[in-house]
Amino acid sequence: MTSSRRRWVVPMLLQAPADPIRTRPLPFDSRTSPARFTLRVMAGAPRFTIPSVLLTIVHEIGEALVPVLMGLAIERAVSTGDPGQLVLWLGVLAVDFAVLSFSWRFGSRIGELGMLAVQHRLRSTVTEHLLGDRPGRQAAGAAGGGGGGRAGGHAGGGAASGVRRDRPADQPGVALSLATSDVNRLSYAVEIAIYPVGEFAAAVFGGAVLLWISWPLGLAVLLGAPLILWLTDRAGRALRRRSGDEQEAAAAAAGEASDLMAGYRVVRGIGAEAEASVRYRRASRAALVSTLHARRAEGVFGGTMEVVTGLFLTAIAIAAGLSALSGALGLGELITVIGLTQFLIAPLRNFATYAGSVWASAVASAARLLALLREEGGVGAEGGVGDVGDEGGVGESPFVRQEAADHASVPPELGGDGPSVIDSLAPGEIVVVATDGVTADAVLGALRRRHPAVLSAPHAAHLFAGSVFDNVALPGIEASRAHAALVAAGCDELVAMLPRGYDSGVGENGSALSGGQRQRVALARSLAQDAPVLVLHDPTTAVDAVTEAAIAARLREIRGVGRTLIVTRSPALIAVADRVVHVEAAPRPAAASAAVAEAGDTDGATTEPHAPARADAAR
Amino acid sequence: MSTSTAGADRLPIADGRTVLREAQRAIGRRWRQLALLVVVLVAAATAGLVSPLALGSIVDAVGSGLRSGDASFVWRLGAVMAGAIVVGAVLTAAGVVAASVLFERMLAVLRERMVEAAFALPQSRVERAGTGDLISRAGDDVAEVSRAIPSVVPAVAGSLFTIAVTVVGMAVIDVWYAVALLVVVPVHIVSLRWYLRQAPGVYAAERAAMADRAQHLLDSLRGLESVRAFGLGPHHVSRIAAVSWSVVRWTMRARGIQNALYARLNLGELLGMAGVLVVGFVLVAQGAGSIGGTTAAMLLFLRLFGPINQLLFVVDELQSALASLGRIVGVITAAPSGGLAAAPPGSPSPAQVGLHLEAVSHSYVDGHPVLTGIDLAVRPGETVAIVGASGAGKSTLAAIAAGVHEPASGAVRRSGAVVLVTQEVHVFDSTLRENLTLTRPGATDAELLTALHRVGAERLVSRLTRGLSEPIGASGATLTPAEAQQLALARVLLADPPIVILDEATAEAGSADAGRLEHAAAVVGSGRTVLVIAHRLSQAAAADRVILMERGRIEEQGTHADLLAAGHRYARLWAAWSRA
Repeated sequence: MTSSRRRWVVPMLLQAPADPIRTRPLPFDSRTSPARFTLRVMAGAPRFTIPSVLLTIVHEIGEALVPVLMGLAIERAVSTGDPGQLVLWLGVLAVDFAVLSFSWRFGSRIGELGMLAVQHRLRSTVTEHLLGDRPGRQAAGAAGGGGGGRAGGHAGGGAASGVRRDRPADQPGVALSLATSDVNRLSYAVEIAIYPVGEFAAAVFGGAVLLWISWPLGLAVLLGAPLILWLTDRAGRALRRRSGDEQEAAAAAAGEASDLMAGYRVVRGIGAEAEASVRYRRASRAALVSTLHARRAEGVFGGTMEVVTGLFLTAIAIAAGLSALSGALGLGELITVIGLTQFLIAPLRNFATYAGSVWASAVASAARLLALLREEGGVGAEGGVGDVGDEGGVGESPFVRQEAADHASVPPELGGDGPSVIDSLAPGEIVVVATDGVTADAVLGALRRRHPAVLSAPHAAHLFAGSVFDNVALPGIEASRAHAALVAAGCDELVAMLPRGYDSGVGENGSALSGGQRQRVALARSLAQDAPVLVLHDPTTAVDAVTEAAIAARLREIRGVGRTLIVTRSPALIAVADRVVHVEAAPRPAAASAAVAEAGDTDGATTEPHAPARADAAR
Repeated sequence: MSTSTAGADRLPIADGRTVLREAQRAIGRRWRQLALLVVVLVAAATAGLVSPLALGSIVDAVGSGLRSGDASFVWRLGAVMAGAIVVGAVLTAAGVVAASVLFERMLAVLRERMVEAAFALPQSRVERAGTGDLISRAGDDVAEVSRAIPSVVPAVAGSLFTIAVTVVGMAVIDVWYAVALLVVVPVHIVSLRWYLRQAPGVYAAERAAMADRAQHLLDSLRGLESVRAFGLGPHHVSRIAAVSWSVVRWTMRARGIQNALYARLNLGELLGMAGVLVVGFVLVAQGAGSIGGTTAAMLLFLRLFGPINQLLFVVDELQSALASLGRIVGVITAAPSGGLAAAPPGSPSPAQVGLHLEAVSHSYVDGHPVLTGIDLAVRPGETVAIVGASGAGKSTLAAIAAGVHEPASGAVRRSGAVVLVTQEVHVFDSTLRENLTLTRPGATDAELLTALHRVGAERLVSRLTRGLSEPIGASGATLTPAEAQQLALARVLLADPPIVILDEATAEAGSADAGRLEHAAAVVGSGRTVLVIAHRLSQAAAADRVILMERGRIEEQGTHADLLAAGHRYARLWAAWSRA
């Protein structure tokens, strides 16, 4: 954290420690209801909530005392002209302010820290679930067809880009919102155990004072105020919902507008500046209309609230005034009643509205998070493929069904139950499986399922935030090995091209690099692993022919005695392979099988007799 | 263009006076509306004075010994109070809504003008600044201002007037009450200055930490496949936990500063109340004031707590909104006045020249030439392929030919509009139809489907359940890289330009898709002047002419057959490439 470098650090007690605070575990099982889970979250950090709520009660009572003291000071000091009384009540007022100020200062901070600690724990649980390796999910991107004998029965194919994201939580945007917004909203429930309790205490205290002064007035305030506030809140719900809807519409339009700018280069490239401006204006106007609707709805709601509470205060003041005229109320008591009622409106309003809305949104978020955390075959498509797919776990979209129906299954040594092509690899051997498209996905899917321990690098060259070097030198990889891999993957020219060589950041999503550069860095990452068996999928599609030839030439040296299987149709890579297995998808619509023909040893590969075989030797 | 790393040459940021001038222009000089707004807000704040003053009168009436017989006096005051409350609430709501409308309109006009200006800027200017600069102004800065409006406008429109009018109201009771109130002002000024020194930095750091958290989360989620393949799960979980906890630390720091400000405000409240009490004590003792007056002054002062807090807490938001406005207006003022960027100069008829680069040299950083002395003439209807290793200057050549960059020296002539398609495809966040009509507004569905069919994307249409009406992009269906490229190529067909430049436009796809994309690119290029940066030699072989580049220079050129016959570098490459 950079804060330690800052000189202005004010002495502030109760800062968060450098390391996360451990809080209670938040257990759940298949029967835990969202409301119960929310209650557990609320009770997640009692070490913080209990002191915080005590201090908050003290603070709220201190606040409620301010108008009481004001009434007493005016009655005892101002109306009597006694300077001793003035000094006395000023002193009492100062003490009250000191108490209310410091109790808030620490109470709210302790409570916030507790809430944040629970939030952090929740977030860690959710990210572990989203990113963790679980059985059957290791090769999430494989999304291939199944092995032989299961042809056609399950979802196959998948986007060429890699990860098939069938469930909502697999969409990065949805997952992000679960791990941030939902976790936040659920953790805010911790505050329900703090502030509403303090506000309730203030209401009880103020009510007791009012009852003591005049029981009819006290009852009127204590029963009337919450009722009126609750009714206004209910009546205003439609307005607030409308305002919320309009805000969402405005946000969507604003998102559309900024998305248009994100495509700036594309717009310039195709000369669509005028049309893009027109569209931006349209989106901007739509956003404006929605925003203005929202503002008006808020204005009406705020104004109504203002009128209702104002009229209620006036009614209490009239009643108190009348009762003072009749002599039932003293001067100081009249002032106290007016001041206290004015003060009580705020905690009562919060109590009537805040706790309920925080609770409702926390429970809704708890339901979403529980659904995620309970998912067994959850993230990634793999859990569903072949195993769950038949039960409808994946393959919900017509697109997927279509693919399953018309793509071929794969030959046994690539997808069957016997010895696979990976088992047949000799040390240092480079084998190319020459195929592409959905068949390649099917082959890779099958191999990943049968050899979950084998490093099978995805085709999608996703780089993570950090430098080029960070992306290649993953934990446990020596720097020298990473450098060698970078050279082998044709990244040596990056040293000169990037502002800080290998230490240059790759940008969000690798956006600081070109597609070809990204792909080469991703290849270097795979090569740096020095895996005993490495499966690559079209590792050089975005690389120019010159560089691709260089990479192919360096492949054998960097792989050493490691076994390498490449699924590709790249001529340059085929040229350096020891063996080539050609797989061709059977022509559609036959849901039958692919044909295989192999040069050299067949090591158990069965060639379909009816297959339109095309044998090619390459060595 | 990967080669143009984001430079220090950012777009300008407008100063306060320029922002004010542009804001006035955006509002459209609605002075009368503005004046009316001020009148409404003053009236609303004044109506708010009625209740405390009336309550003071009731206290005085009770104190002076009125008895229940005079209850009608209380009822009359009650009616006045009720009336004032209704009037005040209505006026406040109307004023705040009107002010919001005014500022929301202003923001809408400014952001639209900014986008127009952004498209009117020479692209080379934007590239020098980095497109990220522009995108963050259109996204983050606009969002910053729209976030600020709902909290800042009511605070300023409501609280500022309430405070000002209340001071006047207290002075009306007795001028000494206003004096007692003014004693509080230095406390607030000192507190505010302290807060403004501390808070913006910490809040910015908190927001940055949150952005960092979201960034890390998204990064890992997007690369889920790689996270799993390389067993990076635990590593990434702990990385996210670390940034998540750093948000906690910044939030606590921000909370600490906020609490310290509250404590200072409490001190101001205490001093104010004590001041009013002392003034009331002295005035009543001297017979110059009443108990009711003290009560009214005290109630007025208690009512100020909320507005003062509200106002102080939006000051930093106001500051950052103004900073964002400066960045938005900066783009507007940077653009040349008058319309969108002109298309690259149209010159002689297509018969004489297609695309002509004469002695073009270029460098992004002085002393590191990227292109040196490039002479290249592409005849109308001819397809020229450029081949070379990464870093040979191919993309820069394409960018200069397309007019993205002005060459450092030399000249570029084009026979007409140029369309450039690069690896960087953007699927716009709207329907498939709107993604296509971008280049031909008003095209019929039949035309769109034909274009998609010609680039081999009929499968895309059939898999989208709603066909052309299906939302795609950020909040719609996800397209594969190959589909996104097909979409880009279909846009070119619809734009129907005489010159097309394809910069590795088929690169992102897997090998099966690459073949399909190559075919689509050939369809797009037929009958046009084409410059294609080829990373697949099959594209070169199909071109009319091939140029091999090395270190920013043209090393070999000729037809595919000529170059093979010459037996130099290209021939060796081809041999390696086609061996399989």
